[in-house]
Amino acid sequence: MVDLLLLVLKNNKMNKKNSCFLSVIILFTLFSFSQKKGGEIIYKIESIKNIVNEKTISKSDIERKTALNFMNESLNLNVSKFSFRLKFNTTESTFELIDVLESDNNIDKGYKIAKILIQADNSYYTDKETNIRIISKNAYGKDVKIKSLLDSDNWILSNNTKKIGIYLCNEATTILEVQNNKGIFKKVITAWYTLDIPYNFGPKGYGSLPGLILELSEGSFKYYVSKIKLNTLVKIEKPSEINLIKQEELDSIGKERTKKINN
Amino acid sequence: MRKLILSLVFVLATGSMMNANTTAEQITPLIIKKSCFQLAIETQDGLEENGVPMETASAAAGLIYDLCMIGNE
Repeated sequence: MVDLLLLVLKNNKMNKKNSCFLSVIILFTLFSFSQKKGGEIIYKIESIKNIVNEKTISKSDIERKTALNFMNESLNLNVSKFSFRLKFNTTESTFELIDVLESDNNIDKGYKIAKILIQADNSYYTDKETNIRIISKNAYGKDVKIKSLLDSDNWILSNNTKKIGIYLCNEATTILEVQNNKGIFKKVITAWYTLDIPYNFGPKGYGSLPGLILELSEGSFKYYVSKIKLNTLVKIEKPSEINLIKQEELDSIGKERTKKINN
Repeated sequence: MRKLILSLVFVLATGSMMNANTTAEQITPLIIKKSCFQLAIETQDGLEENGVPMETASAAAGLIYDLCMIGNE
């Protein structure tokens, strides 16, 4: 449409007044097209099980036990302080932490540990049209971005339903594989999505389901909806693809670091 | 009478000083006998045993190291 208007401008020798009018129309069109209808969801988070289990703690000596218990307690005490915002339109979404300017939190050691363990500083971008997900995070002191395919989640849809607020939700599960120095761990991800809100997005870059995810359990944490704002114009900015790295490359860096530290 | 007041002041002042010391010790979350470096490695190990991603476990271990170092200062 913009190209067409430019062509008209070029071909017809218009006076100054008319070209000014057309420029305004072009700018207005550009602005309107950069925003699409969507919404904003606020998610809260809760801890559904300890991040370090009793088996690991019981075989530890007193110092390690203290450090690992500190992880669990920090999460239990601080997890409710974190809120996340999912912004979405018909094609894209972003999911990130809502920053709280509480100076007390910033010096609290437990809060800092919880923030790390929740991976609260990671931000997530998804684009349905190009089928991509970009996770921006800080790993080993460097800001990196990890790109993956949205449809690689392989959701299994079940017939289980439950009500979340006024919305009837359906259950879907998938497996998340985490690789670290101790091996490969398979974690079950459970999502509750609603067909009443037909946007294919959710927390932490999860999506590709027939409706919006209102609740998501991943490992020790459960993300649940606390506020829903729909039918607003939402502009999503795609993150740059600078510092792009593959998860496999990041895993090798991690393994290399551990090897160096242990030698 | 003056002696009694003076001794009371002394007892109260000493008590407050002792309390202050206890509080300062309590701020340190971990009482460490092993090196902070070793503790950080073991913390990372414990987290990874529970399926925590490497970079997350490493960041948490880094914070444990910092806290341990502050506690040992």
